[in-house]
Amino acid sequence: MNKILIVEDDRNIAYLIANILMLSDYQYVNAYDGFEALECINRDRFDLIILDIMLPGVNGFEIQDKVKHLDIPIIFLTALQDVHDKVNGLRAGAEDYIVKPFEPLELLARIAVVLRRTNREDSLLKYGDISVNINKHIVIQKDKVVNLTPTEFDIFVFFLRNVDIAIFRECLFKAIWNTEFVVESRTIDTHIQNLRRKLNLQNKLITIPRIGYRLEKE
Amino acid sequence: MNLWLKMAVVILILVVIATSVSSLMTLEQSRRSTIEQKINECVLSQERIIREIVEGAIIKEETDSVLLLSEFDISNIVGTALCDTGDFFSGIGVFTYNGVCIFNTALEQSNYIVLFDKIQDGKEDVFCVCSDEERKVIRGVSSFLVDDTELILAFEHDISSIYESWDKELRMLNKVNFIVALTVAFVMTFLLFILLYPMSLINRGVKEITNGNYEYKLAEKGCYEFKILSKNINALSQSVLLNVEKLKNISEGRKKFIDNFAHEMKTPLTSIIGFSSLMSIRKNINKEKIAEYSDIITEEANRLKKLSGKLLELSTAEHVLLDYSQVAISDFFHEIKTIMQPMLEEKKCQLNVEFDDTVINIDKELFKSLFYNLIDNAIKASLPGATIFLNCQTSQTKRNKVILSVTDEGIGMSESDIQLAIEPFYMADKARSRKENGVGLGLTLCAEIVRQHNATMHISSQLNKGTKVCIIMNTEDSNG
Repeated sequence: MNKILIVEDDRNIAYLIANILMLSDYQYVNAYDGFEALECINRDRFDLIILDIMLPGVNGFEIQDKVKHLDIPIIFLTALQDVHDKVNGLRAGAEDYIVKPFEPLELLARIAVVLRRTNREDSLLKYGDISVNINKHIVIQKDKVVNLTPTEFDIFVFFLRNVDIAIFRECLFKAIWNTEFVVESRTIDTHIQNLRRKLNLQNKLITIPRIGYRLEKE
Repeated sequence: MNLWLKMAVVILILVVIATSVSSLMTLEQSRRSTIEQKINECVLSQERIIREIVEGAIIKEETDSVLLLSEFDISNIVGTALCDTGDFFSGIGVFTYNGVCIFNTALEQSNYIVLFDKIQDGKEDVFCVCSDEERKVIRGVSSFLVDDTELILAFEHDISSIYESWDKELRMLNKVNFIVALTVAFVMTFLLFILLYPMSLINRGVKEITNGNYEYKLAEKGCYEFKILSKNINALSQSVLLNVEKLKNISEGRKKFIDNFAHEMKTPLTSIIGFSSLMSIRKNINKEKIAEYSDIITEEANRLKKLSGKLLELSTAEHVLLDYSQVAISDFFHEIKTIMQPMLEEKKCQLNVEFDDTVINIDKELFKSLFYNLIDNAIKASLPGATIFLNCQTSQTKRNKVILSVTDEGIGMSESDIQLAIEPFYMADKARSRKENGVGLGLTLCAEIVRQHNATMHISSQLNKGTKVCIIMNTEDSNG
C-alpha cells in the first residue's frame, strides 16, 4: 500500500485530500506546516509528497530542496498560477504541479501517473477472479491469460485503482492519454465495451448516463 | 555637417573676407597717396620749369635790351629750360595758346586736346591720371605768360611702376592671405574639435542611457555649458531611474496582491469544489459524511462571502468620493458601541468608552467601518471577558490634533508583524485568523480609510501585553 504525505496548512483542504486518498485506499499522513512536514519525512518513509507551496514556517520550495536527497516524488499543490513558479517547481525536480482548485479524480489520476512513472505503485492488483501484474503487463482470469491492448490495460488498471468511484470521461482522458482534449467519446466507449467483453464485466463496469463509468465493488 | 566643421568653414570664410578687405583698402590707400605725391612732385617741377622759362626770358630781354622776344628766342629759352629737367618727365612740351607746338620731346599732342580745352575755358592748370594701352601716366597742362604771350606747358609722367609694384604687392598679399587663412582654419578646426569633444562624450552617455542603463553617469567635464548639460542629463536619468523603481514597486505590490488574492480565493474554492465533487462521485456515502462535507462547504462559502464583502469595502474606500460631515465624537462613539454590542457579548468583552466634546469632520460611514474593523480585531485578540478601550484625546500641545485610539490587552503582535500588519492578506497567525473568520484585509481597509481622511494611523504593540491603534487626525486639515 502506497503511503502519501499531505503537506497543507488549510485544515479543510488537508481533510479533503485525505478523503480523496481514501477513495483509492492510499495510506496518508497529514502535516500542517513546513516544520511538521520535515519531521514526518525524517521519521517515516513515504512514496509521494503532496506539497502546498504557500506554507507557514518553511515554504514548499524549501522543503523540496531539503528532501531532494531522499528521492521522494513530489506533486506541488498551489494557488499560484504564475508560469515562473511552475517552471521553478518542475526544474527543481517536482513530478507534477496541480493548481487549486482541482477535481478529486484529477488528483488521483496524477498520483497514479507519478507512482507508475517512479515505479512505486503496487504491482499486483486483484479484482474478484481477475489478477493483474502491472510490471509484467499480464491479466489473468481463472488461471487463463486474457489478452488486452496496452490502452485497454491502462484503462482497466485505472478502474481497479478507483473502484466504486464515478469516473468522468474527461478524467479518463487525462489519466490515460494525458491530454486535456476529449478526442471522441466513442473511442472510449469502444475500449470499455472491449474490456466488458474480454473480462465478463457487463454488470460490474457500468455506464453512468451523462457522467462516465464506474467499476462496482466485487 | 558637424557643428565643428560648420563653424570652422564659417570662420575661415570670415577671416578670408576680413583680411582681404583690410589689406586691399590699405594697399589702395598707399597707392593713392603715392600718386598724389607724384602729382605734387610734377607740379613742383613744372613750376620750377615755368619759373626758369620766365626768368630766362627776362634775362634775355635785359641782355638784348628788347621789349619783345621773337618766337625763335622763346623757343630757345624753352629748349634750354626743358633740357635741364633730366628724365623726370617722360615727355614735356610747350605750346602756344592756340595749340601750336613750340617745343616737344615725346608728347602725343592728341592726348592733350581735352586738357587744352579746359585751359581755354579759363583754368590755370589741369592734372589727370590716364591710362594708355600699356602705361599709366600723369598728364598735366599749365598756362603761363611770357611777354604777354600765353603759353601752355604740357607734361607726361610715367607712373606704371607704381601700378606694377601695386600688382606685385597684391599678388603677394593674396598668397599671404591664403596661407594665413589656411593656418587659421586648421587651428580653428583643431580648437573646435577639442572644445566640442565633451559633446561626443555626452552623446555616448545619452545613447547608453537610452539603451536602458539608467545607472550610467556622465562625466561632468569640459566647458561650463557642457558641465551643466551633463549634470542635467545625469539628473534626468536619475529621476527616470527613480520613477522606474517606483513603477516596479507598484507593479510588484500589485502582483503580490493578486497572488495573495488568488490564494485566498482558491483556498475556499478548493474545499467547496473538492467536497461537492466527492459527494457526487462516491457511490456509498453515509449520512454523517454528507453532513460533515456540507458543513465544510457552507463554512468555506461563508469565507468567500466575507472575502468578497471585504474586497468590495476596500474598493469602495479607495474609489468613493468622501461625504464629509461634522460629527460629535460623543454621538459617534455611542453609535459604534451599539453596533459592536452583539460581538462584544459573544466574547463577554467590555468596551470602555472615553470622549470629550470634540467635533470632527469625517465621512461617517467609512469611519464606522474603520472602527468596526479595529474593535473587531481587538475582540479577536482578546481573551474572553477582557476590556477594550475606545478613547478620544485632544492633543495638549497642538490644539488642532485629535487622537482616537482603540486599545486591547490581548495577545499583541511582534515588531515584524506590526510592519506587515496593513499589507493586504497578511495574517500574523493564519490558523487563528481562519478560526476567527478573518480574511486579512481588515487593517488594509483601515489604513485606506485613514489615508483618505489625510490622517495617520499608528500601531504600537507588545506580545502578550496588548495592542494600541491610534488614529491621529488633523482637525484644521479636515475642516479645510
